[in-house]
Order: sequence, then C-alpha cells, then structure tokens
Amino acid sequence: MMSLAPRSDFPLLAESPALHYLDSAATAQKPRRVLDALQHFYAHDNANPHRGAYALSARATERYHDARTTIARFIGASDADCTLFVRGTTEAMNLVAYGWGDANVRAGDAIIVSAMDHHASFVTFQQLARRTGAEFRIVELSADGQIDLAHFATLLDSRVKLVAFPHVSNALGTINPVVELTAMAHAVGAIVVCDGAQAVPHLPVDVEALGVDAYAFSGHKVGGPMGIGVLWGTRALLEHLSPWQFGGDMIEVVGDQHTTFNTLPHRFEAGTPNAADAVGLAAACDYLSALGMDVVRAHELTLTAHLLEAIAALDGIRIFGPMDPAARSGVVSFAFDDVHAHDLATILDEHGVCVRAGHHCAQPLMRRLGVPATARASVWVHSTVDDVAALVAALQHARTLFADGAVR
Amino acid sequence: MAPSADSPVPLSATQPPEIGVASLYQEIILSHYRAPKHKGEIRGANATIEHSNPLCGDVLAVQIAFDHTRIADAGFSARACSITQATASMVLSRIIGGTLDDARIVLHQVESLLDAMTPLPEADTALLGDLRALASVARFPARKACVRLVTGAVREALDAA
Repeated sequence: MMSLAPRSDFPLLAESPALHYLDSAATAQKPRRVLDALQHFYAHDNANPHRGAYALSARATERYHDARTTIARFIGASDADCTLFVRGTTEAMNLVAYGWGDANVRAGDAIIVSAMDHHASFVTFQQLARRTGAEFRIVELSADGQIDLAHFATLLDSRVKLVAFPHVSNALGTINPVVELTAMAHAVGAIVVCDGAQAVPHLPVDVEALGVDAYAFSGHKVGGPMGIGVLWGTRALLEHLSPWQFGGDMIEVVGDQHTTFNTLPHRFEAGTPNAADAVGLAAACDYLSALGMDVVRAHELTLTAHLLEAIAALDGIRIFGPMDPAARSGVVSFAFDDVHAHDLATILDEHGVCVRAGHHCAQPLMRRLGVPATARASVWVHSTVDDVAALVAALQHARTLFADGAVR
Repeated sequence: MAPSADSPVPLSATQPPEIGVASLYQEIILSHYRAPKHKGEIRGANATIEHSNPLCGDVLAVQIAFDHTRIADAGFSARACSITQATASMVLSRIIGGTLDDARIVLHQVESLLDAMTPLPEADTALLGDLRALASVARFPARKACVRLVTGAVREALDAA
C-alpha cells in the first residue's frame, strides 16, 4: 500500500528518509504548502489587520478573513463569524469554562466529562466545578474503551449544565457517537462541548451535523502552525459567552468608565490577531481538502487495521481501546507486560521510529487502564505499511532485549 | 531525496540500533532492573520522600533510616521505567552503610556523568562502581530525567536527616 500523500510534500520527512514518524496525534508534520503560505504572508502581505487605512493592511485583513472562511468551511460551519481563533484546544476549553461556565454554572449544578477526556478538558471543567461549587461527574468507559452510554444516562438529570467529551480519544483512538451523546445531553438542557483535536485531522467533520454547542481543535495537529486553533460555537452559545481577555480589536467604544464590545468573532480575539498562523492553518485545510477527507479516513482505516493486526500478533502486548478498526481513528495505544513505555520509546527512537510514550495528558484514563503509561503509535496521510513494519521490527527488538530472565 | 544545503543532520539513527541501545541497556543495568536490590519498605525509616515526573507519570518513593551520620538502611518503591528502577537499585546499594556526606558525593557524581560529553577522570567517579554504567544515559537526553528522579528524591531524603 502506498502512502496517500508523498513524503516529498513534507520537507522534514523528505530530508530524513529513514524516519518513521508515528506521532501525528501529538503534532502533525507540516506540508510544504503550509510553510509556503506562512512565508508568503510575511513576505508579501504582512501588516496589522484591522488597523491601517492603507492597501497593505487591507490585504492582511482580507487574508485573515479568507483564512477564517476556509477553515469554517472545512469543519462544516456555515457562519464563519462563529469560528473563533484561539491558541489551541486548551485555550478553547478555557474560554468556554470562563466565558460561559462562570456565568451559567452555580453551586448545586453538575458538569459531566468522560474518563477519556484530555487534561485540556478534564482539568479545565474540574476546576470550573471547584470554582462554582458544581458537582463534577465522570462518565466511565466500557472494557473496550468506549463511553458507557448506560452509565452516561444515569448521570444525566436537570442539574447538569455542561457535558464535555472528545470526538476522538487521544489515548485510545475511540471515535465517540457524538450525535447520540449530544442528543442525550440536550434532552436534560445541558450544553455540549466537544474536543475535536483528534478528529479534524483524520475524519470528515461537520460541526453543524454533529449538533454540539461548541467544538474545538488545534491547528498544529492538522498540519498547520503551532499556536493557533479554533473554537467554533453556535451563535446562540457565543452570544451568551462573556469575553475573558480584553484589549485592542475586541472593543466597540471605550469610555472612561465603561466599554462596549465588538461583534463576533472579534469580541473574543483581543490584541493583534495571529493572522499569519490563520493563513497557515487555512493552507493546511486546503491541503487536506485537496486529498479529500473521505479518502484520508479510508487510508487511515486500512492502515490502522493493518497496524492493529501486526502488533496484536506480538507476544506479551496489550492493546487499549476498540479492536474494531472502524470504531477508532489511526491512534493505537499499547503496552508490553514487562517493558516500560519509556524504554520502548527509547529503543524505537534508535530504530528511527517516533512514538509517544507517557500518560498522554490523560492521567484519569491511565488509572482506569491500570498502567502508568502507554506507548502510542498514530498514523496520518504520509504513513505507510513500511512505517508499521519498522515499528513491529523495533518492538520485537525491545522484546528480545528485555526478555532474558524474569523481571520482578 | 537529498537533504537541502541548509538542512541539519537527518533525523535517523546515527549508528545501528543494536549498538546504540545496547550502550544504554547494558547487562548491569538490566540485571538491576530485573532483580532490583532494596526494593520494598524498610523498618525504622526516618525519611520517606516521593517524587514523580509530571511529564511521564512515573512515581518513585525512597525511604532512608539514619544512624547518626550513617545510612543504616534504605529502600525504594517505584512505578517507573528500567533506567529509574536500575538507578534506584544501584544508588541505594552504593550508599547504604556509608555516611551522609559520601552519599551526597555519589549523587553529585552520578549527575555529573549525565552531562559529561567525554569520560570523566577516575577521581570524579571514584565512588560510583556499577553506577558508572549510567554514563551512557548522556547520549539519551530524554532519559536523563529518569536518573534525576532518583537522585532528586534521595537528596531530599538525605536533607531530611
């Protein structure tokens, strides 16, 4: 099987032919097209958007505006003004927690997150609960790493104001039934905040069809620059969201004692906007659109099925999450009985294989899995069966190295 | 595709994995990992210190029992990788029965190994014994924290004496 996208599309991969990058879930390698777009913005279009009454500033403003439109379209958002730029998923979650949560969640209310939430969501809403005196409820997972819908149903009542869960688990790869979970949450009047960081790079995403109230993702996992991400929200939600950062660009009229605020999306984008990175992220979306997100998903599904089968055949390995490739994205977490995840990652690194080893910013999940850490391999558009073969060979080497004698 | 003119060294193994990894996972380290010494609780501990590495989630607890200025006994428990567990086994083996001052010198010498680009003079590693095997960790920057998890916890336990 060939890769979907040639390595030559990615300057870093092109200069290191022996590198097997299986850590796209942590951050994606950057397509040349994205790097070119960044370079082009700074070399030809650079000025402060929304500021200068001169042609160059108008051009920078237009590039920034066009980027927002492109990105909104990529995630199925018909109203680009509801697509806010933030630093990443973490900031998006914090914006919802401070901008909506502090005003709408009170003592006696409840918040639900899942046991597979990333710390960006888990800790943010746990702390919202602590600030407001709300009850913090955690929906548990089934044995194969899916949200337990029956348990979720028992947690839902009229006290629940906010429900958060990931579209795709960063540590298990599980694709969650967002539409079903959202309908259940809406039935009790809660808003739904969905972490899409692991979904947007890998699956066709239509935020409006999902029905959620807020959806967040990070640009760098989509092949865009680090330091930019998106919070999309329904207009109904965003109009009840208070600004939490104040300054330039987000104001309408500033009086001595009182200020009125700008309209969406600017009200939430205080200070000089990160226009260049928005342009870079739009280029990443264009790159993926040209490949076709259905085609990206099909490629990853085939490769993930192969990856699961290849590593499941190794002795002493434990694979976490659903074993049905159709139920997961291209993320596979695993552990050997007797080789710690760090030792694995070091040995794999010497083979030129990059995987993540650790708790994946999901310590509550690691406790439930009963492991301190896992190793995680993740694929993307440039990944191939050769990458999987290199991983398997390196895992066999690790196994051999640690196999002599019993480890206490 | 050839690297471009301004590119750094390509990211790939600079030597065959059998050589590179073998220098880290020497038999002396693996044997301390497989059959660690002083693993488990001790009686009469004067200091119990638990440290964790927030980046990876590994946890190490060190206990030390003091007899005036000497270390009468020590033990560790860990949910950690081979390098951390082997380091704990070797460090405790080395410092039990010795003085607190000697133990501090051992910790200092171990940490010096991690930053040494070339082999250290004999005098600078005189107290180390098996611990000299950790010199190879210098080549694996991501793993230095695994050794420092041990030296940090032991130093804090010594300070509690």
